[in-house]
Amino acid sequence: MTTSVTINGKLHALQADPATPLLYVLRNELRLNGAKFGCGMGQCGACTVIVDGKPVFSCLTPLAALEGRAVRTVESLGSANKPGKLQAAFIKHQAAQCGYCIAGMLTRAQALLDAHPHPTEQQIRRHMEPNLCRCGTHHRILAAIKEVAGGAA
Amino acid sequence: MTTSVTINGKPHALQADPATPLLYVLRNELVFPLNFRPLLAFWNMLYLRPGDAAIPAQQANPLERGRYLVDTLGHCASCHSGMNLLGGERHPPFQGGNIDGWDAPALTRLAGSAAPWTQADLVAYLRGGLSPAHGAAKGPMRPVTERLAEVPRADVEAMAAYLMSIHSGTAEHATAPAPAAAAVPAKDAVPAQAADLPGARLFAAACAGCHAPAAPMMRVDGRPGLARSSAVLGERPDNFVQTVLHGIPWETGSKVYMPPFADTLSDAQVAELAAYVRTGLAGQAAWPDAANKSAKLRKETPQ
Repeated sequence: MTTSVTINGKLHALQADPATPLLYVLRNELRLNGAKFGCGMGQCGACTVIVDGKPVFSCLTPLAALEGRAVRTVESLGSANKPGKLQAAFIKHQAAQCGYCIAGMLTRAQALLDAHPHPTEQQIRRHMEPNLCRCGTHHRILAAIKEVAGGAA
Repeated sequence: MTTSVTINGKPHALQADPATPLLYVLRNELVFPLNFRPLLAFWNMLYLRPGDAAIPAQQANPLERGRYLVDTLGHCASCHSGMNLLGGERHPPFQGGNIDGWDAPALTRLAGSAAPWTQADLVAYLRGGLSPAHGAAKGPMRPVTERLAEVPRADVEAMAAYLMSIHSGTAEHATAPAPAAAAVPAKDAVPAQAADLPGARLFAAACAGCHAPAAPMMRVDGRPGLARSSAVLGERPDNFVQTVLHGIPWETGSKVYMPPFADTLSDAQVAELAAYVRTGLAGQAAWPDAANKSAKLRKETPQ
C-alpha cells in the first residue's frame, strides 16, 4: 500500500506500512535524520516536524494519517553550508549544547514564526513549552527565536 | 438620576444610584430579563433548597457528612445532574450532564458500570486525579481533584461513601439499577478481528507506545488498559474525543500527561480511532457520531 505525502516540497509515494510512525519513515527510508527519537511518547519534542503548518510529534504521527498532507522537516530550513535565518540565529546564540533537541526546537519555532512572524516573548515561551532541552540551554534558544521574531534579543 | 459613562467604547446612560460602586453596576446591570431581580424569587421557589441546619460531623455519621459535602460544598450535581433551560439542576440528580464540552458521567451506577468502581478507587481518583483502574481526571474535573487533594482524607472518604451509596440504594437519591452494560474484556487481550479495523494502524503508531498492553508505561503507576477507561466506556464520545484532540496538559506536580493529537489526526481519523478502541478493545457498541463530535469539539476549543 502506498501513502502519498509531500515532504519538504517534494511528493513521495511511500511504501512503508501505514501503521509506521512518520519519524521512522523520515529517518530510515528517506534518510532525513534531522528529527530525533527522544522519548517516543510525545513528551520531549526531539522528533517535532511541521505538518500542514502545525508542529507535531513525528514519533506519534501515523503514516496512515498523512495521505495528501505536507510535511516539513528541519532539513527544509537550510543546510550546514547555508543555514536558514532561524538556524543562523541558533548558531549565533550558541543555542546548542549537545544538540539533540535542536532540530525539534527549530521546527517548532519555525511553525510559530510562519504563522506569527513577530510573536511576543510570552507567545514564544508558551509555544515552545512542549519541547525539552535537558542541557538547559532554553535561554539561548529563546534569545535566538526572539532575534528572528524582531523583538529585543 | 442618570450617569453617562462610556463603557468599552459604548456610551451608557446608567440609572443606578450614583452611590453604587462601579463594580456592581458592571456586574449587576444585566440585560432583560436577567436584570429583573424579583424573578429570582420565582427561581428560588423552583430550585432553592434550604441548606442543612447543622453541618454533620466527620466522625459521627460519615454518610451524612458525605452527603453534605457532595450536595452542598461540592455541588457535584451542578455538572453531574445537568441543568435545564432555566439553569436549575435536573431531577432526579446525578443522571449525568455535559459541561464545557465534557461529559460529566452519571454517578448513579458507579458500582454497576462495565468497569465497576469501588469506594477505594473513588477516593484515589478524587484525591489524586487518577484511578489506576479507570483513568485520569480531565477537563473541568481536573481542578476539582486538584482542590480535593488538599481536603482531609476522611472527608473525601465520606464523599466517596455517599457517592457509592447513591447506587446501592441506601441514600435518598436511590435509583433503579442501570441497564446491564456489555462486559469488558477481562484482560488486555486484543480481539483478533479488531486488528482489521482502520483505526488499528492509527493506534499502533499514535497510541500503542503508551497504551498497548505490553507498553512500559502501563507498568508505571498501574495505568488502566483503555478497555476499562471511563472515557472509553462513556455513553457518549465527548471525553474520548476531547482527550485525543487536546491531550492532558502537563502541569507542575501532576502525574498525568498526554500529548494532543488535534494537529495530527483528522476528524475522520479520530472517529476511526474511537471505533477501534471502543468496539475493538473495549467490546462496546460503537458511538454513532464520533466524527461530528470531533469536528464540533475541535472548533469549540481553539488551540
